Amino acid sequence: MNRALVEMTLLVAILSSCLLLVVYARHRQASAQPDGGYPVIGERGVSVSTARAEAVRWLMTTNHREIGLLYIAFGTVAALWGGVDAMMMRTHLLTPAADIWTEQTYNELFTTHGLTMLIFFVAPVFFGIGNYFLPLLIGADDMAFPRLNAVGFWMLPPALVLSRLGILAEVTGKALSLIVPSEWISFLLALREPAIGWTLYPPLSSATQNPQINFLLLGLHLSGIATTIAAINFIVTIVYERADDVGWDDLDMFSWNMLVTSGIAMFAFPLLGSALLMLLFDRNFGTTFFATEGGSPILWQHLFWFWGHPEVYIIFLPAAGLLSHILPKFVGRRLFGFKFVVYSTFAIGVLSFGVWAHHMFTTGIDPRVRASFMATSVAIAVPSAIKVFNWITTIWNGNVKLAAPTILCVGGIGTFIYGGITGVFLAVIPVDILYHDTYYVVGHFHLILMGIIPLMMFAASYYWYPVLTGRMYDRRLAIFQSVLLVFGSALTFATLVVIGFLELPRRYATYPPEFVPLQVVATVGSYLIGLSVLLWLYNVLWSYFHGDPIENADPWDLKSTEQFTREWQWLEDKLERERGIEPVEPEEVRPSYVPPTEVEKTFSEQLLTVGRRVGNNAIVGAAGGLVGTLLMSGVLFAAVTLGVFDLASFADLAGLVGLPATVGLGYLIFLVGGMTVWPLLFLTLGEYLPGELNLVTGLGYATVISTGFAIAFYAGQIGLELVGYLVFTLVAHWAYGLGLAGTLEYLGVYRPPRRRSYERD
Amino acid sequence: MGNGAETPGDPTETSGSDVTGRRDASDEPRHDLGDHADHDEHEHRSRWPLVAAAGAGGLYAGFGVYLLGSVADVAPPAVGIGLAGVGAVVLLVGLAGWLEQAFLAPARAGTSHKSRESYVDTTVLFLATDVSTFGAVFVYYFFIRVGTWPPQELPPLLSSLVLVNTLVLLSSSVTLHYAHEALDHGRRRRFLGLLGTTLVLGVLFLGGQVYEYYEFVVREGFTLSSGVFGSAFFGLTGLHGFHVTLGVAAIAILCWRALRGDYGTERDTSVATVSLYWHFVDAVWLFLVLVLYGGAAV
Repeated sequence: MNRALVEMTLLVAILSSCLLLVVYARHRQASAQPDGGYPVIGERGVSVSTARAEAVRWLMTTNHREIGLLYIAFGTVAALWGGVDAMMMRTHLLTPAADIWTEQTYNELFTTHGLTMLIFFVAPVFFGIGNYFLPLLIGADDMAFPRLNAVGFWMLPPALVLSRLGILAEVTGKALSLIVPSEWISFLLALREPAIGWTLYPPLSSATQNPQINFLLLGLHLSGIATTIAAINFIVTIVYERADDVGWDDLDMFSWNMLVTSGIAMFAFPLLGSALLMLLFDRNFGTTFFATEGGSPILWQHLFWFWGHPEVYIIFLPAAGLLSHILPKFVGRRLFGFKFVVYSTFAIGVLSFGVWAHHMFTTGIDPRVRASFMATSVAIAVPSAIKVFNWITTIWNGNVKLAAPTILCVGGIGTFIYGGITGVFLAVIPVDILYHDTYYVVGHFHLILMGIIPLMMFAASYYWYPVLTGRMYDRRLAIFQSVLLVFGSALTFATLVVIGFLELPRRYATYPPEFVPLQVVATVGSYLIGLSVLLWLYNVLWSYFHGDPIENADPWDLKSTEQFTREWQWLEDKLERERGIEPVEPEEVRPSYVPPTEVEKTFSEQLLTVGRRVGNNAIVGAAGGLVGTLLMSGVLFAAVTLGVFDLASFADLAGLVGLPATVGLGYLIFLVGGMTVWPLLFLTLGEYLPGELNLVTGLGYATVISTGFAIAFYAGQIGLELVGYLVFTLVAHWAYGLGLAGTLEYLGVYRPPRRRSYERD
Repeated sequence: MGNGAETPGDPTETSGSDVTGRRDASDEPRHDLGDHADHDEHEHRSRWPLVAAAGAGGLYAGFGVYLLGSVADVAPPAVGIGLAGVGAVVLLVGLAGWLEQAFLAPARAGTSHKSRESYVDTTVLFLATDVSTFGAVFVYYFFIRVGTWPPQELPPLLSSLVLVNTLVLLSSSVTLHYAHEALDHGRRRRFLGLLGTTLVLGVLFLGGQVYEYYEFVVREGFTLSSGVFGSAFFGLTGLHGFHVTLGVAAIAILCWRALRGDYGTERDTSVATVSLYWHFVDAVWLFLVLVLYGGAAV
């Protein structure tokens, strides 16, 4: 099968299906418009003049929201294109021999997949989301430089065309060769998709003849200029265009992350631009920038990864920002540790420029250099972990609502942890030497690139769908799609990690037959991802015409937790103006985790407060312990009569603490212990157990401590006696746990006030 | 024609900027800021971005086609050069249209509501990206300086020409600085004179560069592809020369606008931004002379 024809056919098929779907959905649109009216007959058909007006509008717009949508549409097309590459690659790997496509084709596929996804998909989509929502979030009229913004966007389509001219020229050439002599179109047939790996390492990239590589380098350079322009624009917008009442301390999490991302991009992309041109000159004008006798191919690797590793964070940080922004809305709690998440973002921004050489551990660079880069690479896990812990703590005790964004956020945290931790191992030199250029690396970075970045794009598209369209998407389909996507990503890339553990090198079109089962699993997983992407496309396109119009500007019930942020206020104003929908107020408003206001107290007052608290807790705990221990004694008494529990153990207990070994004294110690140690431990640990201190936590706690009891009081029972002993121990402890927790609940115990505010929801 | 696309009364733009209008906590009527912004800065249509981007695309594609012709020999290089030329012209037209529409027209009308500070800081950000652009080529030079050194093809670098050129560029920074001072003190004639001197000095520097290239390439046979040092020398001086060319063009625009009387003590934003750029290019040159000319000769 010809690769180019297959790929373009698939891509065109997907895009034209989308178009057909839109046309059909428009045609079928009999339901109410978002504004409550019905479409006029004339509006259904598309006249030439309206089409022309629309074209002019979209081509010449400098409105940040329209440019944002253009960015998102462009990024989606690029994602589908790179996605078709990926699907073809995974299909190729179904068989161990290169019998579906050739080795050359496989090499082309992984080259173009990487470049298309990293350069033309991720950053444009995030810049699109940023364009649309960032000015709304900070209360700006528009981006700081609206026209420059448009310039930056419109440079991307020619950049993509230049970068992927190989396949376009090949398909055009094939089509034309049917009607014109092939010597007329020799220049089209001279171009082939490059097969040099997305990292473009010389000497392969400088020695390979394929002239498409020149076009690729030029296209990438052009896209780099576009990215730099957009980055500068974002920074100036955030610094200078905030509304008067948006101070730095009110800046939302997404804007913080876009600020740092832009800062990194601003410094990383120009360097890549120079390096690309240097490579272009090496290829065509006989310079020696990356020649073995000149700057050496290692120089390319240094320059490339000095861009390449920050690029990882350029595309990760917006996703982290979206997660930090969206997750709190669906768990009804404000982001935990907001300040520290901001700090961690800056820490990542700085550290990201100091880790690049970990991509080069196996190139024979100075061991001292390697060691220092290993240290920084391991260190960058710390700010990432700070984010993860704060996200998890935000969910903790929250009022978690089931929705597609929730699934995507929680799934994203999970795959990010896995992708991040595999990365920490990879940063360690000996591990890296073992796993360098194996599927382990592929699995590791895809768990992040696929496991959190697109997930957050989808989450944002669902969360803000009402803002974008005035309608709600199909929520059941979205939940199914989200689960499928999370499952598919985990399945595919965890399998790749496993294949990597077995040390199969990456970038080979063939592999030993014993890897067939694992490769098939990974391919099936990737098809699930592909399917879920198509479901998302269907959902957002269809719902644009047929989704339920939103009834008010608060479809996510954000007002009830005081998280109704500016972009929703903007929607509320718009709905009121355009559709006359009055703002609604929820019946009940509760603050989403407001930290307790600290009243200044002297040390002695604080000591007194703590002392009183401990005293209260001790008394209540003792009462609960007494009830619990008495209940427990009853069960143990039954066990004694059945002969599965030996009373002599109590005597041993007394002996253990140095008292006369009598059963009575032993029981007394048991009772005192049950009233002091164990209730206090429960009260202390209770802070860290999920949920409130209630009967369920009591049962859980008792179950845990019963294991210790079972070992301590074991008196040599065997067989059925042992089973009986264990059962009675467990039941006795349950009785204790229920008695303890029940009494505490009945008497009431001191809890910090902040816990009360949200836990009884 | 540039502003023709945006008639102030266009309903789409009014509603468009109204909906993005600033929101104040006090819920003030939004149009007090919005109205102000509506007609000068926030028209939501402009043809120039598309023109500029299309020009850039043409320039890059033309360069690619030229390489296709000259290296792979399947298309006449002239086609590529022609396409690149057309692209470059279209790009310049697009940039000019954008500059006029976004900055010059509002500045003339006195309706620009953006702070001078934001423009200056944007220039600083741009210069930071430029540090990175130069950085890659400097790193190459450092690599070969500590690596495959000395090269076969070292031309006589330190000559009176470099010294003169350096002095020319340095004094152009000084004249530009005092031109700006003169503008601040409202001394128009002095401002114009010093600005004109700066332009002349910039052109002189470029002339010196061209002369040096001529000496090296024709007389000494030292070219871009002569070896490891040729790449560094022409890479760095070429990149720097490109920046000086842009700077000279910017100063020429300053002169043109100054003659039209666009500047005053309070209206000096573009003088400030171009000065920053020019001083930066000057600083890069000093570093370059020190490291590349001096460092190679040592």
